[in-house]
Amino acid sequence: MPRPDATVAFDAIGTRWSIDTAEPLPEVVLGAVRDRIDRFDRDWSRFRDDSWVAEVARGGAGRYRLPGDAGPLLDAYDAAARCTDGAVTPLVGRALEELGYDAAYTLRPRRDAAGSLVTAPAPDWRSAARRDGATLVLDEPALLDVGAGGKGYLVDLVSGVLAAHGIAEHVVDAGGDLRVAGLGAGPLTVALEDPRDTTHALGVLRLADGALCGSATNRRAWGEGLHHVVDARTGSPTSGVLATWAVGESALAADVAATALFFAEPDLVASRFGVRYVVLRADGSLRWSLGLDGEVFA
Amino acid sequence: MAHTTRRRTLGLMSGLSVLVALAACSNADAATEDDAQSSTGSDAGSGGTDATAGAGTDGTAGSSTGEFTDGSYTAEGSYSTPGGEESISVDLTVADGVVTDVTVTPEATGGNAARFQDEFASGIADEVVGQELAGLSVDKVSGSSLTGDGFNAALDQIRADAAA
Repeated sequence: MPRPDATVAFDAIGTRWSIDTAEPLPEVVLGAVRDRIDRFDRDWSRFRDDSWVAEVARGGAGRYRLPGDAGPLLDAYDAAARCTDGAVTPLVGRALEELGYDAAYTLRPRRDAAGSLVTAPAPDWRSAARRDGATLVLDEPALLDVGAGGKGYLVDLVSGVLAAHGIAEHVVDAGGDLRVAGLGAGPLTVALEDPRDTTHALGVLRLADGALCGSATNRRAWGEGLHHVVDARTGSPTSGVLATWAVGESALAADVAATALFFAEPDLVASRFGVRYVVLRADGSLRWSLGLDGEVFA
Repeated sequence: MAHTTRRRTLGLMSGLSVLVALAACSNADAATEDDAQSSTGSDAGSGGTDATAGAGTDGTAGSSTGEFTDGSYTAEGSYSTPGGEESISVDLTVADGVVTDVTVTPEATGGNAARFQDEFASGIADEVVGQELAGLSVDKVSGSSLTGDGFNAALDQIRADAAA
């Protein structure tokens, strides 16, 4: 297998990480990677009381100094909110909590007497929040959730830590969100997992350099119609699309695009984020960008 | 379990059903504007589409997907780029809301127009049947993010409660 063949694996930010390199990762570099991940978690996690996100949630409407790495992440959310007409927003945290996806993993949604989900729209990122330099201004209380792009962004940041330590050839994998750099020996082959049957693949992509991120509604799901891909305009989990993948230069773009693909015309998302895509709809149909390196089993 | 599958490369092949985002192609500048265009919106991108879909026929109203009205379309667009004037010509046929035939006239030989032509063409399969992962030689699997132990433990607890 033409791969870097030293692997280190660990759990962080609620998913499984593995980093493949040609030589075993030196302790000091692994330490720098773990430090970078910890810093990101302290800033952006909505699952811990001491994070910046938790501080903002407690503070309500007001002005907050953004974490130093916020710029590219929130830029990507700006683009996603525009091309999905507000369906994608980092202000969706409270809506996820109402569905049961809270810090305690209650996993029990609010329901009315008839058993129907009780949901409410999330604040619109385009009108309820704005950035003033390094400051976030919230017009109403909000719980941030950067689940649509945070993990991809962190994959990029970790890739950057490796590169800064002179490790140009690497694969960073955070639960299937991948960033590949400098693979001189040939591309990585990646199966696209069928969310309807995870022993099956819908296709295979080859990734020589860049990022591949996927999103699907089969995991981080806790009941019929209860999963983490929520339309902020309604506060309800989406149902028309089962799974999406995006290939791009950065994992941030690919990750946010993968979520946007649940809600918007795929070619619009492709143009906004500079990605190519594969989309599996609930009716079993598949749509994909031409020019992707790989094949689908259709 | 045996599946009847035929492999289909992701690259452009003759005979492949291809969908071209008409609005995006006919107004390439849209790619830099802030207009929202939802796949479920009935009039999504109507400005770009209507302005240039001159050959649209009286297709049946209300296609099954709501994305396109059935009929034949010719879309042309020209715009300025740093490399000069570029143009795109696309002829396509829509049946049941899906593009069934498309001809992209290669008026662009490079630069942004070629990039747009490439980006806004996509393949469609009505039904995708997976292959068993065990039979594939791959380095990685990508799907929904694997979940952490805390989430899975909570889910197990709920299942246990429900069964009790």
